[in-house]
Amino acid sequence: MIDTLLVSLAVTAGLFGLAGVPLRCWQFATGHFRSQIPRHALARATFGLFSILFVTPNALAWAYALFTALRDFGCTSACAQAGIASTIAVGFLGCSYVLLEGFLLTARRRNGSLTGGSRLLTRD
Amino acid sequence: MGYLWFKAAIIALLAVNTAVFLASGTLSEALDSLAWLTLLVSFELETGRREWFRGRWRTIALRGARLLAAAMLAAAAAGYVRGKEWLDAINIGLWIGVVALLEFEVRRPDAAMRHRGRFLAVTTVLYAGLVGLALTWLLRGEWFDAYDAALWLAAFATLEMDLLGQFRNDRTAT
Repeated sequence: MIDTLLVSLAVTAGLFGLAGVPLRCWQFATGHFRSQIPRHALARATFGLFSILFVTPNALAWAYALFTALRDFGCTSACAQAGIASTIAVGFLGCSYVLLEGFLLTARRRNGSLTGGSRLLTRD
Repeated sequence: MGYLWFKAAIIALLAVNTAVFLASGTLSEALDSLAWLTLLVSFELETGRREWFRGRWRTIALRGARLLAAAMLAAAAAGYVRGKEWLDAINIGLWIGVVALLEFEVRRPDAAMRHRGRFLAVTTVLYAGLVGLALTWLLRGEWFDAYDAALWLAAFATLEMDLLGQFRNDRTAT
């Protein structure tokens, strides 16, 4: 039961990822997030580094999911368990897409909800 | 709000992985996983819930937990080296480097800004190494280790962006 739920969640996230990943790639490429992340140079550079870290597996997972889906749906004969590979690939895409969105959520967060971390940085 | 749920989900998934290592992994793996989870939670508490640690005993508890985690890491590293599990030993070394940089970023933000070029170069090397290790585990078919490594990368990337966001607050305030 829990397994089914987790797989369903991953596949659902993957379906969103099929549209979301190219959109996010385009937004990264056009500098859409530049105005939404901390302004100092260290944060920008770190954001750039982590963007590559998150976007690369997402782009690969997206390409693989698409390739697998095309192969599965293009199969006309002797296709045992057609659709299983696509589902797994879309599920993997979902997992990596959730991490990408979570990272963006953190990086673009406005610090209204911050409770005292800035004091930590002034204690020295 | 979504941000807090994401963080909670990552920590919960890492706690599940730690439980798996405790139940079915080697002693070194269990100590390694438990130590990093303790360090991650202590970082989160220290940065996000600073007001909780104003009292003397709470500060002592936090530092004690970190000291214990460091001892567990040393024991885990020794176990990996003795068992010739080099990938895990390198993994511990790289993560210690990441945490050292993070500590430096928190305690000496001005110095981190001044030397941001070097800082970023070292960060890039460390994270590239960690990604390389995750890929190696994946290629060797050790999918759980690869998944665990990817989750840790996401957790620390989130923590680091969070810290830099707070740093922005501090800089803009002064």
